[in-house]
Amino acid sequence: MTRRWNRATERNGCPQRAELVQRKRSEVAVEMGNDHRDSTAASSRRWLLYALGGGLGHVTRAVALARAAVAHSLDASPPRIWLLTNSPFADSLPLESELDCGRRIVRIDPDWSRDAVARYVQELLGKVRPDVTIVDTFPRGLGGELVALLPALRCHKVLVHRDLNPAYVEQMQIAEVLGQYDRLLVPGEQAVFADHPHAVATPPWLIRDAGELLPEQEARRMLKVRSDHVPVVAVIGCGKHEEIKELRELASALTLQLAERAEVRFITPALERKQGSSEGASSQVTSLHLWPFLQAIRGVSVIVGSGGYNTVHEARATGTRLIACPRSRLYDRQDRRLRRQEKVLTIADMHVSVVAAVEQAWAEGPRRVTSYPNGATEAVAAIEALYI
Amino acid sequence: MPKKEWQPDICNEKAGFLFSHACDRQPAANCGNCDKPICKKHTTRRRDGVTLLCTTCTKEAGAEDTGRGSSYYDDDPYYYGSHYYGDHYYDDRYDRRSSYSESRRNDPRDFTEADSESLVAEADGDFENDMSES
Repeated sequence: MTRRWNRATERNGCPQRAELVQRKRSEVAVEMGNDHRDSTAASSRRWLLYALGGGLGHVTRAVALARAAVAHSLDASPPRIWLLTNSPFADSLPLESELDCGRRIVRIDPDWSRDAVARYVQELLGKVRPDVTIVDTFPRGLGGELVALLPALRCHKVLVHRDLNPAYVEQMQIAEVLGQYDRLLVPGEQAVFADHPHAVATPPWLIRDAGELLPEQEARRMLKVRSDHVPVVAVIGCGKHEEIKELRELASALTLQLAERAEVRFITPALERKQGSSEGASSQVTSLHLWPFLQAIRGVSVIVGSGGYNTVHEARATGTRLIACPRSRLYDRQDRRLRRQEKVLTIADMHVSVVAAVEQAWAEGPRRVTSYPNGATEAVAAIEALYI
Repeated sequence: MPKKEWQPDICNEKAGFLFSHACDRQPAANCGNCDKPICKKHTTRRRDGVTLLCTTCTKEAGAEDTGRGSSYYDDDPYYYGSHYYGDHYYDDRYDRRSSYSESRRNDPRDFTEADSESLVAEADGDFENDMSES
């Protein structure tokens, strides 16, 4: 509640905004100071991961790349990563422990205006002075601020190029800014400029390699499932506020409907209030604050959620049944990403599909998650090829 | 349309894909047809460039009047080419014979025209101004 109030007052131009900007500036300054004292890191390249954008997708993909860079770098020493995010979930994610890079995770308030974001990005680039800037999804920047900054940026510039709303591509003349990028990385999906001479296609980027997934029984314990054989349905509560609310209601209804046939878990990166009586039927559901979800996927039989990049590719890579409802986004096209056998459009179809999938899981018995390629590793090689 | 009593301080349009519920955003305008207070997200501009409509009245007015139709994606080439890994890496797990374009035909779960319209309506928006979008 306090945080929400603060955001509201920041929007209205009260001192909190200036205070917050100053705090972020201080953090970056402290980090820069620490770097200069860190002689062992002196030879490392600096990568700035620009992961602005709502939801969880941009920051999760950036973390996947950063983890791969630390684990699979071919350089003499792995790059030092700065990760910029304005995800509304960023405060509740253990980003520091995922990346082990302390204060180089830069969280900015999701309610900042376009101008405030632009000013901050410019300042951050000036202070970090990255050797490589990696921009996720938005070639011009989320607010178009990179158009003016990219030409003056003396570093390698990499775009993570995914499918984009064609209206955005046309209206904002995206093709014109691509010349600023030394490399376009296409992470496992068709994209409009996939044939660009600088484009390198990879499999989807995932936040865990196949070898890092928890064994099934351990995953079930993480999901708070006692049984070793009852199918587990994971409802992924992500996206916008109202969507999370809807999915929580769905998880609650499925909990009642499936009763002894399956264990239903509501998995969300959002920190939720303690459930009170006013939540009604939603209090029936077992809710878990778990991120990244992929680590526990071996314990899951059916994933229910939306058509976002990570949900879809994590399910496909691990061969986990996905039943998803495409959500409307300004830039991303979830309806295009989802395949016929994954997609449902009504609550009635959702229930029918989940029940059928649970019965199929009973019939098939324990499933085996086979190995999969993680495109993030190839992406690291493609980026390092720019300077090694 | 008969006059209804609208709540003045919130968007009176219904939100939600699976479950219909009240939209809790601040209203930015009133519908030019039914006078419903509506937020920016639930506002559509009529072809005349002046009249603003709520989502409900937009649907009733039809695609012709709002410049939106089901043909938006019909000629879209983006997903008719091959997927980098799709046909080889992933599709085998589900259906060796399927391709995206094949899967679009005659599927009862595919989007209806109204569904498609609602997605297009929100996707053709105010680019680079909303910092919460993805």
